[in-house]
Amino acid sequence: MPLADVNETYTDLMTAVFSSTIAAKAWLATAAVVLALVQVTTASRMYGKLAFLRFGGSWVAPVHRWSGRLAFLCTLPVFFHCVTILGFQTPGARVAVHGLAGTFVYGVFAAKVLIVRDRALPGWALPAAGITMASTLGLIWATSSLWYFTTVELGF
Amino acid sequence: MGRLWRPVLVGAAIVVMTFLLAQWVPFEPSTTATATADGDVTRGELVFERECAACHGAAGEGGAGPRLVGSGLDADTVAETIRQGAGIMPPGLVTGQDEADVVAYVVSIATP
Repeated sequence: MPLADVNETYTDLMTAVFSSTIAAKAWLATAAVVLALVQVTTASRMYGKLAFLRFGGSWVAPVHRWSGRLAFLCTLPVFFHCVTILGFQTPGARVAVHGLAGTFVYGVFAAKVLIVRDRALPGWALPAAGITMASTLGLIWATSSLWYFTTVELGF
Repeated sequence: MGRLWRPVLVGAAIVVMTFLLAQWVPFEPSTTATATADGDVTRGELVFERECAACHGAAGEGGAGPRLVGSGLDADTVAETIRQGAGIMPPGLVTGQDEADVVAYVVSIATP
């Protein structure tokens, strides 16, 4: 496939469901952030925090893992468009902050995955990585999806 | 504590690779993709998002600047407005191929 066709194919795929590529990205990023909140909540319960939520049990860990996997999948098409079709741009503060946070997101993700698998690390490392991951996603969402929903339209 | 360097280094390497990829922009639409006689609609949409969407809206639906969707503007009018400026829009906001591409895109969304 010629490189020039990639953007057209991407647009065709996204506009088969959404009104535009930017709307598609806004909703996919929103789904990722919602799933990240599920991650933070379930992780907190696994650490014995947020006791007032009164839930727990064997299902919490699988929900945590699968919400993370789904969140990662939701970010892939957004990342692909932002990085390989739009590129790093700094026309204003919002876009600059968005681009900078977006540059870090998969680096933070990779670090978190490695930290999860290393039991010898100090206990604070995993919560710190998780909070950094969720915060990065939140910043990316606030500088893109939130802007889109409040400035352009709250629609699909 | 000493083992923490590994995830941090891997993460940092991925950040650097992401930044380089975002500088390269391998699938940035070329000026020949879906080109019309004067400009490339697909590329024009990206330039529009970058340079014009803040005032005219992400999809040209209007905002601080006038609504462009369905406005019926023709290519000459759009090009002239870009070159001369209008209201708070400065003259020559986009030039050269960017201008041609934006004109092609705006005409494509202006058609009622």
